Amino acid sequence: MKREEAIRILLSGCKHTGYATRRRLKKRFGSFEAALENLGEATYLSENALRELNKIRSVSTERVEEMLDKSKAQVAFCEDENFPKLLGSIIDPPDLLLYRGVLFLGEEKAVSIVGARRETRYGRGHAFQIAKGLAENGITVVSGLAYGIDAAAHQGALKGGGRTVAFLGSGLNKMYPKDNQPLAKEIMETGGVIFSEYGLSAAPKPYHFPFRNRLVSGYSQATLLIEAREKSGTLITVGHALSQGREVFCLPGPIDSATSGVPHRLIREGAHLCTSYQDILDDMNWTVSINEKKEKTILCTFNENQEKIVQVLSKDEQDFNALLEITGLETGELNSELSILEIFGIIQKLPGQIFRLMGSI
Amino acid sequence: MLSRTLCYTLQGIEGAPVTVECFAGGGNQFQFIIVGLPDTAVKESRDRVQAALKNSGFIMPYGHTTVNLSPADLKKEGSLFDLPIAVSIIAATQQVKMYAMEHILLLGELGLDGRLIPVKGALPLVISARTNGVKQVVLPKDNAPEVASVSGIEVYPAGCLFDVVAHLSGKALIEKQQQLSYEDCLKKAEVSLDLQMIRGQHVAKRALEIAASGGHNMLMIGTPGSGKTMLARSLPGILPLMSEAESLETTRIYSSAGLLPTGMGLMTQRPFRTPHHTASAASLIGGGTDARPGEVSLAHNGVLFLDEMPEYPRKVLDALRQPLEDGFATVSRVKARARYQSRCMLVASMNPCPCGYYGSKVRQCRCGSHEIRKYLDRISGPLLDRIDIQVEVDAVPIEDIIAKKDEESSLDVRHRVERARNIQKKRFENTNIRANAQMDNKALEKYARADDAALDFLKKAMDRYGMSMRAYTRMLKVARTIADLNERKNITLPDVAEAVQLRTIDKKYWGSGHEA
Repeated sequence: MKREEAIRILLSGCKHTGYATRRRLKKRFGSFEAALENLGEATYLSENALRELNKIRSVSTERVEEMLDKSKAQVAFCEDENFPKLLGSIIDPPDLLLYRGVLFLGEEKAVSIVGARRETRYGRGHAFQIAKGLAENGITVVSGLAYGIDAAAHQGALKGGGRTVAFLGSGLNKMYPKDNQPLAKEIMETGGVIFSEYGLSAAPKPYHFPFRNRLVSGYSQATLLIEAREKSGTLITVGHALSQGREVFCLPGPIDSATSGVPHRLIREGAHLCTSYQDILDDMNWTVSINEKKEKTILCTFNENQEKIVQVLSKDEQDFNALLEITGLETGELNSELSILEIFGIIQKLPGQIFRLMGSI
Repeated sequence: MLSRTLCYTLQGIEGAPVTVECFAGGGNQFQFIIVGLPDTAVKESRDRVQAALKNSGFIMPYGHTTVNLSPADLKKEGSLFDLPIAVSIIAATQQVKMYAMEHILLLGELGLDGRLIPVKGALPLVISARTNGVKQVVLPKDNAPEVASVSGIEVYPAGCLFDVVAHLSGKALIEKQQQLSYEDCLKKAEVSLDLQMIRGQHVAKRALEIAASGGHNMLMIGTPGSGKTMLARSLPGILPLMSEAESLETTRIYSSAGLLPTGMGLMTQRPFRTPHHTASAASLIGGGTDARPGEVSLAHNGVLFLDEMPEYPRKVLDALRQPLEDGFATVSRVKARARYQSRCMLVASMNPCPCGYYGSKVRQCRCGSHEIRKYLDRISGPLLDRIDIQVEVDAVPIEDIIAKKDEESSLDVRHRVERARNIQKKRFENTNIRANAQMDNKALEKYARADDAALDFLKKAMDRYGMSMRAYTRMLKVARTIADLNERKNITLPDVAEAVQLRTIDKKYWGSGHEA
């Protein structure tokens, strides 16, 4: 590793030398290495920044390599071959990206899915299903690893057996939110990647997230918005997508839900309406070879009661009491039949004692 | 002159004998003192006794009168010493000649007019006295129903001080109380909330039946107003009738806490306790300077209902773990120590999320998945581990409430429960296990045999939902109870399948909504 590269990695972890200051230094001195040698000339640096930069000088290149190794992180600089192409073309690309996982070489079709952290069951369900559909068609799903819609999108993509990419608003070693760490691990293990433009142990500062959002939209050709309240941070992502010249899709919601207003307004203003992953494929003119749907193998043969239940549910979802009435079974019997069907993945139990066939929406 | 009478004082739910000695004589100045570690209520009895004596036609002696409560190092409390003190003064001053006073237990508080007022703890005192060989007891007539079914001791219910003295002197005997058999007491039992009154709620009712059959603790999760409290209240009605031994145990605790309604006999109804969620650990487990029983003991042989469980402080809930597990609570204070039984069923209820409407069909939930997880995390894992059955309760639609459909009555359900309990009684003969819920791992291996299909299914379920080993043993216990209800010797697939359905939280019900 060159000294210049090591300095750039260290700079990414600086709190007081922000994106703009770094650009200015680079412009003035040509390289960060030179900048560090002549710090006295940069009179606009704050005291904190100076202290920070002086500290960097004393860290050796070997130490930086060691740190990267220890936290199993890799680095892609903006001028590198393997730096995400689309992301490199935005107006304010990151100087470098630290990542864990696998980079994609060549043309990558990606859709970012963003939305409310306080989501509803409606939004979460559709985020999951759309992400799954996209993943099944070989399209990368990009999001921010936050609670709510973000998590559902990542999970859907994983379920669809596809690649999914997350951009963090903190360092790779300070994964936030902590609850989603198992999800992050799964993303990395299944050929996805977790990116961060911040130093390895940077804290999740509130102002990181809006800035990070430009990467989420910049990485992908299209952005899908699912559920947002007024003044939501996801609107920033949409704004970035528009200024980066990306397509924006919105999922409509129930008109009386607080999270539907924003997507509906955007649709009226010209965003694409999205009701399924197919809409995105069509509007983006993506022809994809549709993967052969795997035949579901049913592991058990139905008995009479189970057949009756499946038949009833194939028409519409039902709650427990209705099933009890239709099938005429005893409470205990119905309980155990439903349990068996559930374990074998034929039906699904929803909150509120509602049952439905798996895979229907 | 010197005289002696017999009384008992309460220590926890046990009685300890106290001899009341009186010496009257000498001195030309009026003086009346009570010694022997009396508390305030006992000290005040000086004034009550003086008035009662005068108003009953006796004389308070002029000169020195000393009353000693022996043993002198035992702390005495309560107003029940009024009667023995008054009687011993009358005997010491030889106003009336009385017989065999040292062998008759005297209990009672006196009114200023000489009336006898009921005291707390009559039942435990009488039971302790009987064990110590006391043959007769005189007590206020309002306390009589409480001790009516205690056998082996003659009970004389008295109305006033004069009657007692007349009885002891042999001039006018008080009529002996008829001994009431426990069956007679049972006849008077009132019916609590009947299951018949609750429409719909088939899953919850079935869960209640299983919980009652195996003594399993239970958690109900449901939207506000879905009927969780009503369902819990109907649980005592489907539990087997209290046996005489159980009834005595429970009544004893209530009597010593002074919570027995005046004039009521043995408790034939299983207790149902609902402490508010602001309750302190001491009020739940027991405490105070005199080590009073807590809610968990007052629910002995009955139901302890914790409404809105996540609202209780975690510390308070965790304190419940030991009494629930061991079946007794030891309350230790500087001045008192007591051990109360606390074998009760824990029934808890909670909302599915902070706003209460997650999964509701009528209203949209406003909570994010993170908030819901935080809400659930308020209940500690170890406590949750002691709750075998977790069931969802959903509001019943109004059409179903109006529709007049026949629902099963509590009595029918109770018959099934009793049958299942009898099977368990036979199974656990010669062990100290009373119900399936109390089986440990060794007992599980011995008594909860499942066939291969059932075990296979259980394994699949655990894989699918990522359940823990603990959940596995819990499900096996519940499956054992279901098999008992179905009168099956071994556990089969349908039993296990139903048990899996009753573990909502382990199935990550809240998390798996992503696929919804």
